[in-house]
Amino acid sequence: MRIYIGILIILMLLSLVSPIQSITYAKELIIKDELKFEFWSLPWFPQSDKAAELIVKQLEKIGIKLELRRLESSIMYPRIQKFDFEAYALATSQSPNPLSMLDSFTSKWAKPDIGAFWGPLEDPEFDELINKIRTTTDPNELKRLVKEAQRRIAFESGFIPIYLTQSVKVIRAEWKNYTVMTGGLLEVFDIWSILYMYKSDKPEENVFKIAFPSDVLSLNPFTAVDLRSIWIINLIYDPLVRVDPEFNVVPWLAESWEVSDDGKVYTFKLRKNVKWHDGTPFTADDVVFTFTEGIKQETQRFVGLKDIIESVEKVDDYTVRFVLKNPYPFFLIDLATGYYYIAPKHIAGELDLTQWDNKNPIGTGPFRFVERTVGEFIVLQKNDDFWMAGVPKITRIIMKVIPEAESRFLAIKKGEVDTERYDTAITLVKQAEEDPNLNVVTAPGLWLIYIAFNTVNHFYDPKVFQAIHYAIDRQEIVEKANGGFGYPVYTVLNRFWNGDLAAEDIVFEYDPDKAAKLLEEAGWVDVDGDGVREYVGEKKREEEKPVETVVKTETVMVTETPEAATKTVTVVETVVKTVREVETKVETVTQAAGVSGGVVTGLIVVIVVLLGIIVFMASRMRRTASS
Amino acid sequence: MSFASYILKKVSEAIITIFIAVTLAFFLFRFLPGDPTAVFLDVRLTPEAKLALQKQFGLDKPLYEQYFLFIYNLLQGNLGYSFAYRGMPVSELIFGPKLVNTLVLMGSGMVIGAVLSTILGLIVGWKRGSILDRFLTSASYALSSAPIFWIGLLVLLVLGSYLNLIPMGGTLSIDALYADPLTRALNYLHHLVGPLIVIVLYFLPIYMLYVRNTIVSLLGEPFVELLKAKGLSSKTIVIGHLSKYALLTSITLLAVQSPLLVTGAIITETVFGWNGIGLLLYESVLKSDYPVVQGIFIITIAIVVVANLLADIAYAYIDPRIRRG
Repeated sequence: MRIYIGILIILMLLSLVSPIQSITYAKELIIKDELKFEFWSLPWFPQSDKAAELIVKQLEKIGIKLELRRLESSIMYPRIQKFDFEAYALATSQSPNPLSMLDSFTSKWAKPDIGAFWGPLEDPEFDELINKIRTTTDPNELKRLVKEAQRRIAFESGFIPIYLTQSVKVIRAEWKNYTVMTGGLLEVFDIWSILYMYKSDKPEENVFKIAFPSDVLSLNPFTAVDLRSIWIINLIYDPLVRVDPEFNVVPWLAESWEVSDDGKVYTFKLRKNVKWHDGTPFTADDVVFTFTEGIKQETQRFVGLKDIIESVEKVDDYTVRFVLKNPYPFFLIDLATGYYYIAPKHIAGELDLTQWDNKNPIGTGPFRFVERTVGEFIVLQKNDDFWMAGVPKITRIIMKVIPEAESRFLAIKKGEVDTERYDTAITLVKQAEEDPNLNVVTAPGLWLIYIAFNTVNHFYDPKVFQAIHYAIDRQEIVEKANGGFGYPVYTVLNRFWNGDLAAEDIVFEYDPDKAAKLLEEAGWVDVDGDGVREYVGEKKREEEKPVETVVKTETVMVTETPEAATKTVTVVETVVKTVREVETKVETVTQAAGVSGGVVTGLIVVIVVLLGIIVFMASRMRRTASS
Repeated sequence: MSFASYILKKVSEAIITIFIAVTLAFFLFRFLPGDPTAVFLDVRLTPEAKLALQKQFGLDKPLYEQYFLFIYNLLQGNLGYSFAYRGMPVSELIFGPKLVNTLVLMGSGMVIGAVLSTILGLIVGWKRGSILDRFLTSASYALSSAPIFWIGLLVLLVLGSYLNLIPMGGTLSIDALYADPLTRALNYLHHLVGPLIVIVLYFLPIYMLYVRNTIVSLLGEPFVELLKAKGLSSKTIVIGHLSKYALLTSITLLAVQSPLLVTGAIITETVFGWNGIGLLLYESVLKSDYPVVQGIFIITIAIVVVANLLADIAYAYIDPRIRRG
């Protein structure tokens, strides 16, 4: 008896020590027969694709089978967003605003098709926690809550961070005086480099040429949703505030600001010497217009502020008051890093902002727009009337589209361009290091490589996710998948982007034995000896229904005689089977060719239609010729 | 049937053809897997922004409503706006420098291909069985069965990377952007060389084999025997008589493949980053940019149908028997 009490006490003490034991899960388990998952990866993103390959091998050791399939993004993303997937490896871009990551685990993202990329926790208590974070102004309390949220995500969600990429950029050595910020050289938050960079004392020689992998899609600051477009917009337009190289919020178009005691009213004093590129003075009207209409017309960039901003009012020509719905301590960092650029009211005032093509952008920024050849070039020129004195040093920026990574690198080597927009391929870095004309600039990168499981409707067992955390050797992945350019990451926030808000005490050291033990505890044992663990626990709560049965019953219902019914069933089965086979074949072929399904299907259709046109034309020619 | 009613019949047929093709194009691309709002992943969209985007694209409406809206706009000559290039009219995207680039590349490629293949086809047809014939014929089979992207990459690798003879891609160098028109034009032509070689290599073997076969079949004709009997030299027979037939074959083939003038060579343009309609089509399929893809198809279809219509009318005008059907 005493022994039992002793054990009980020890267990209770243990439960206090180990954080895993103390969690009560809000979401019900979703169990499957064995730990076998279809695992998707994006073929053109080597940082995550190579990691995916390694993860498959590492998890195989503890009896979790991932079947790797490579899918094109246009196929993969919509299916992920419909929660029609099992597991995948991808990258997500980082932001200094911790809420952008934390919020994606609240219940509102559990609906299909709203753009969710991983299963949220689906716990009202967690939603409440995030709401509290949203409105807490006390920094210490905030830190505690943010860490609590990270802990819950780390121990309960199917989102498993692997590593943060290290940005590696190659730039021609004659360029001087750039800053290196988290995110990488010349990333969008880094306006400082582009303002102060130069290569010569003669202004006319300071032409900066940058290669993009594809053209920018939109120069409309309200609707641009890709970082390529925002990179250009960022040079033409100004936000109210920006971040300095240490990610502190600093004045920009707003000279200074005051926050009311309740944290709900922000009053900005605007700069008085600012002019639009067409000479019109910049005033409070432009700011009021941008935020009011941007939100009202549901533009992609501003619609997210709908739940935050109550109203934006003009106090006088150079003072603007933002009234918030609730206190929001991240308002300033959000304004500085959320890509909210001020647009000219005298140009866009009467327009449908969602359809505005903005062919000749007029901003207040350091560079003015000169010309653009869609698909090839954009030319910007120094704004001589820029409100900040003495900058920019660069007189002209030319963006050229060069689709192939190798060609971009060759162009830099030859000096046709100075640098490229995205990271240089790891395979080329060594060549760059050996070239005296090139500098290699590294910094903590923009991309968090992670794997995610579909916890919404496919599989949910936090213990298995814990085991996976321990079974992944992150250091090995960084070394092998990205040539050592990266940092292992264990939680959704990390110190590079979120400073001391990151819960650095949560670490899952590589420990496959611990992982195996966790799995056994949770009822996962390899019963049939095939190397994949089966479930032997008792908490079986949900059975998966095969899709085929649904098809069959529907067909049976419409057919009348039993014979006919069986016939149809066979036919349907055969059809279903054939379709499957064809699908698998196409996939195998495309995988072998290193191209992914979407492109190939698309191109096949294109080619078939083209052939059709040609045959049609040819047959007509023949007919007319023979008659 | 009178000439007027014949034309009426042909015109109405053409309209129905275009309508069916346009409808097919509309549905075909919407049944492809893919989501136009999912191509932007650099910056995560909030749920609100995603729904707003779908609404702005008109994708929240039922398919039939989207279709009627599309037809309504089309009748007004409006091809819609690109999804990917936000706010940019499709017509502006197509009828711009991209179309010019494609016309230049495909036009010159097809003409050079046709001329070269006619000459070569004549020679090997006349000297069939010779070593030259055997070599060129088997080379043609090899070339026409090689994947075009492979040829493209090979050209790029050898001429561009190893020998440094051609630029690595695009249609202009940055340095030529602000040069005088002549330098700019020369730079453009320099960029044209790579893709042009690939296009010519693509057309050359097929055309040559056609021409060769035409000549070979003609060689057995009595009139050739007669020409020989008249004592004409081989040169005169080939250049003076057979070349006309060869030319006819080439021109017929050119006409059949005329839609390629507009749609461009998708793969060649992609490999060389040649900023034309083919590259646009490729990118738009990737990005599920339905309006642009539709636009390119509608224009291609319209060109084919109208060209056929004109041909029909011209034939009927020349040969009254056709009118009687």
